[in-house]
Amino acid sequence: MARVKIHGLGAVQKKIEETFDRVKSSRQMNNEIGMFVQERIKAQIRRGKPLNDTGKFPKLGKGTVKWRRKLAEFNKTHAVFKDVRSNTTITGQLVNAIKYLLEGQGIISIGVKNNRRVPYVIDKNGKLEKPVLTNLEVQTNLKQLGFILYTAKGLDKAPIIGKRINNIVKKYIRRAIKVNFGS
Amino acid sequence: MAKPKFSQTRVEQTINLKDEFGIDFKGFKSLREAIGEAVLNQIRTRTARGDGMNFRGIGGTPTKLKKPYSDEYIENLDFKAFGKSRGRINMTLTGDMLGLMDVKKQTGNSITIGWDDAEQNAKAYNHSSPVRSNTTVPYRPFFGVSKKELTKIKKQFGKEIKSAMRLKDDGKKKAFEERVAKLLTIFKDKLVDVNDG
Repeated sequence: MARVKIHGLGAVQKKIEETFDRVKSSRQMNNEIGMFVQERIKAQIRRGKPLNDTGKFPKLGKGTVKWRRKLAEFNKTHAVFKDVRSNTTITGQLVNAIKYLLEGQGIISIGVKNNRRVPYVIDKNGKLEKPVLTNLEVQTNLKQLGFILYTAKGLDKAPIIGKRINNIVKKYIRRAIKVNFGS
Repeated sequence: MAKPKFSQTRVEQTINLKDEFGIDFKGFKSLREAIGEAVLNQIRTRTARGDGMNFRGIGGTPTKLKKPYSDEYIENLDFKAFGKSRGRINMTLTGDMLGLMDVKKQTGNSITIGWDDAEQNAKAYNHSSPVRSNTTVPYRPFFGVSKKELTKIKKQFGKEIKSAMRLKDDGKKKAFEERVAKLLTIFKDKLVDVNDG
C-alpha cells in the first residue's frame, strides 16, 4: 500500500474524518464492546442480580430448591450453583448460550443462542428429562416467572456499563488520533 | 517526575508533558489525549501481567503484585461469577476499576490520569496507597506510570511529535483541534442507541 505524506491541514482533516468513520465501524472495537457487555450480563445473572445491580432475582420456592438439589446429584453443576441461590444456573448452559452478534453499522445485538439443550439426568439410572427445550424456550419460561435475564432498558439504567462503553470508544478514538498525527 | 497522589477521594497522577517530551503541547489537546491513552494502556497492560509499580522511591520501582488471593475471596460468589482465576493477580474482578481509569484533566502542558468515579477511586486507594493504616485489602500498588515507562511512551510518539511541531501556526492548530473536538462530539452522540428488539 502506498503511503501518503500529509502536508496541508485540509488533507489532515480529511484523513481524520476517514479515520473516525473507520473507528465507528471498527470490528475490533465493536467486538470489545460486545464481549464486555456479554460477559457482564453473564456475571450479573450468575450473581442473581439484574444488570443495573439493584435488587435480586425472585426468591426460589421450596419445590424449586428441592428439584435443583435433586438435579445437582446427577449433573455436573456450575461453580456458582447452590440449591437455594436464585441465579437461573444449575449446569450453566443457559447463561453460557448468551452471545453477542455484530450486525454491522455499529449495531451489536445480544441474545441467547437458540440451540437445543443437553438434557438433565433426572435419576440415578441415567434417565434424561423430556421434553428437551431450547435455550430460548427456557428463557421465555423464566421470563414468565419474573426472571428477566437482560433488557436493553437494564443496560440504559446501568450507568457504569455506559461509562465503560464510552471509555472503550474513547480508547479507539485516541488511538486513531495518534495514527493521524503520525501520517 | 511527579509521583501519583493518593487520597480516599482522589487517586491521580499529573504528568508534565513538556518536561517529559521536550515540546510545547499548548493547543494540542488531541495529542495530549492520545498520549494519555498510551499511559493508561501501559498501566493496564502491566497490571494484567501481574506486575505493579511502587512509588516509595524516585521515579517508580517495578514490583510484583502480591500473591495469593485469600481463601475467603476465592470462595466469594463474585469471584466465581466473573470467572476469575485464582493464580492470576491482575486487579480485575468486574474490570470497572481499570476500565474506568481515564484522562480526567488536561491543561496546556499536562495531563492528569485517575478516576471521576468515587467507588473506583476508593478501590484504587485501598490497593495502591502507601499509607496502609486505614485500608482493608492487601497492598498491590498498580497505579501510576514510572519515569522509565514514560520514556518508552515518548519513543512511541516520535513521529506524532514531529507532526505536531510542523503545525506551529496557532490558527492552524486551533482549526485542527476544533475539527477533532467536533468529530468527537458527533461520534459520542451517535454511539449508544439502546433498543429493546
